[in-house]
Amino acid sequence: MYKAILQNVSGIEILPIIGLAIFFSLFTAITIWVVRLDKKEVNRMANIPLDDNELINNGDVSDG
Amino acid sequence: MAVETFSYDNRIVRNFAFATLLWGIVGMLVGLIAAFEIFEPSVNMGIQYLTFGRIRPLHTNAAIFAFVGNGIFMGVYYSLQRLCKARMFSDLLSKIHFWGWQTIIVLAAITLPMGMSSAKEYAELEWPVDILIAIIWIIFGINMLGTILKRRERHMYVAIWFYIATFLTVAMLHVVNSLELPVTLFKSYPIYAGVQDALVQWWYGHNAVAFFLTTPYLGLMYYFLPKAANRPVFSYRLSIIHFWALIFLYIWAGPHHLLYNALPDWAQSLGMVFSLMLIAPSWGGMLNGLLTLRGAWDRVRQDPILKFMVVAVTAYGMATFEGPMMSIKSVNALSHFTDWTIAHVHIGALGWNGFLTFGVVYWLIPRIFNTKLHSVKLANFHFWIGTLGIIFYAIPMYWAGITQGLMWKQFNADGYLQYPIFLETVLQIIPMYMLRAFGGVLYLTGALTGVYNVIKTVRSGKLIANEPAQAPALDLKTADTAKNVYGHRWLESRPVQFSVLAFIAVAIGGVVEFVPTFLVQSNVPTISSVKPYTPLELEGRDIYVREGCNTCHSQQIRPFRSETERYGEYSKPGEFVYDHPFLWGSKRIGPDLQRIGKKYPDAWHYNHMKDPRSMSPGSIMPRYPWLFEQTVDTTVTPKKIAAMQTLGVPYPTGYDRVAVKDYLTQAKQIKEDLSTSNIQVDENKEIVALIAYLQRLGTDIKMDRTARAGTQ
Repeated sequence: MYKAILQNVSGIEILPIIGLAIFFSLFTAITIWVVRLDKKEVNRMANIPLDDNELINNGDVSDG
Repeated sequence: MAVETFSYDNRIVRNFAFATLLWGIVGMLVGLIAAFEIFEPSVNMGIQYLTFGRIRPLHTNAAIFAFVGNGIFMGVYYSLQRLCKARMFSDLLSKIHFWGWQTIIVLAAITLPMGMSSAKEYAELEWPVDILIAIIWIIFGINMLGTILKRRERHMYVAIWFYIATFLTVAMLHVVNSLELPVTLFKSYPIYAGVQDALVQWWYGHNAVAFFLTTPYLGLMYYFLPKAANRPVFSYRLSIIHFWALIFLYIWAGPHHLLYNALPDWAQSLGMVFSLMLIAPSWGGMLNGLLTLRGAWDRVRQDPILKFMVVAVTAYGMATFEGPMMSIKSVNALSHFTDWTIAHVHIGALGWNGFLTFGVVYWLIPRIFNTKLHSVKLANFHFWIGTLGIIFYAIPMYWAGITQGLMWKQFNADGYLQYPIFLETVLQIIPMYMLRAFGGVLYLTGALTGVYNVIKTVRSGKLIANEPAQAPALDLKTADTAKNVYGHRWLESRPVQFSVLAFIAVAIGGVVEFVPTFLVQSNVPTISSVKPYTPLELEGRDIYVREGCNTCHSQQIRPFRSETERYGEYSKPGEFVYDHPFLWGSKRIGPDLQRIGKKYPDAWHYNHMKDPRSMSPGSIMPRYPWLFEQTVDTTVTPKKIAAMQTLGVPYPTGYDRVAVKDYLTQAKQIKEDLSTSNIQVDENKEIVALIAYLQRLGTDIKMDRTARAGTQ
């Protein structure tokens, strides 16, 4: 149903292509940045949930 | 820097946790009632507030906003404070948020069974509640962003990015989709109509799934899974990539029909690639979660919390693979309107959202009550019976969906429909509906044992209402002026800039969809014979909406021969231009009604609404005896006409003043028609209005076709 309407909208095809272009350029840029991140910093950030000095017991729950 | 002492607010976490469990049970119970009603309609005991059409939206709203909603807040309020090393920005806002949200739920529980519905899925709540939702959501956002701004941990952990994206996007979705013109205190019409309304609604609907059911829970996963496993997430780098890819793609890969159906062929292939691309960031999250447990799988065997989380993340992976598959045209041609969609929804709802919620609850309740979980054995039992429940839910629904979808399409050797009677295809899958209800019983049983386990745990401990904590104050000047701070690292320390960019990412998707949407309205081919509904038909339509008829009956005939043979000419966009709201439906529990007009005499509809089985033996549709007792309040009718005029429906000027006269004229005609079949009815009764509406459906272009003989 949408096809019949959208075909009437002139130049509509450009919109998703613009979206694709934005996505791919950002995706590539972010991927490159991410690969180049400093390893120590990455490890520190990944450990933020675990380094909170919780006063409550962090022991795991298991069935003996 | 000086070490500061402060405390985490656990009281608000406890409150949201209890609310999660309470509404979880309520929502599942309503779902169970709905599941039983499908194969045994008398379950509603003749009470109009309990019919499937009235309680289905109660179930969906309870599951999404009451159960998952409170689960989100429970998890966010616990994790955000600890990730920021700061107490919530404002205890007062926390309380207002909590009580405001529960008020919304109670209002839903009252208004939805009363039929006060907008007919827009997952947005059924009427305009006063919509306003309250916006207010409470903003309060939540202020509280959350305020906490982030006063944090003592410089870097925003990945979970926080998901929370920010959730807040911003849900705000955008809710506001845009809820633009409606009030007529009375609990009745409004959306400003959009027909095709445009459909586009807005499903932009909202799919992204409600994305940004209410997925992104906040991914945030919870990124915090609680490492906590439960006591190890960091598998790949922080992967979490950056998959976060941005997810929030950008999800927002516009959803309504895929919009994007690629109007394109030339080479671009259509690109469009399909888009929908499939969404699998990648989704699975990035799933893999990150599962691989966090690499080398620790022996602990999963023993720990029910990890079991819940592993199944949750796996269900997430399954659902996010299945979704893109179902968006492929050839697959969708079979699955649309069937129980396959329902199976898909519940893999996500029961598996991903439900199980992750239980895992988080079992993990944090003992901690904030400074005790141990009352019974690990019972938690394991909950896990296994819940998993069985998911299986007994999903497999029958897959079976039912594919069976019914194939039966609808089946032609015999002579070229006629093999199953021309819709009811035949329903009766075939009744056993599957029973099995699904059994699955729901199992799942609910598991949840109830969980509630029991939590109650015993709570009683054995004492709430640490304000959990003491210490952290160095954050020095805004020295942190992160080191050399390599750019790109995403720069962004993570700056929540405001982060929020702006996240909003732009989702808004680009919104613009890509909305520009066509608004262009669409002026590009819907006008059909000259399509006219606005008469006052009587409009009232009948509102009764149709009130009773939730659209939850069982679609109004959208697709351009397949199997559908045109069964229902008539396929639906044209121009037929819906005055439909505020659109009523295309998303499920065919009963047959499509788009061209039901003038197919059966008035008397047939009269008898059918009184007792469906008198006209269709074996029908699963409930009775509607109150339509024959209740009268239409025609003092509101002129207001409805005036509202429609404001929305652009071309009634003549001043028509609202004569609307009631026309109403009565048309109603008396139906009354006379019924009396020729020995049926006596007062012309003011609701059934007369409903009959008028049903008899109008799809007839406008039939008139046009006979007038333009020889053309398609």
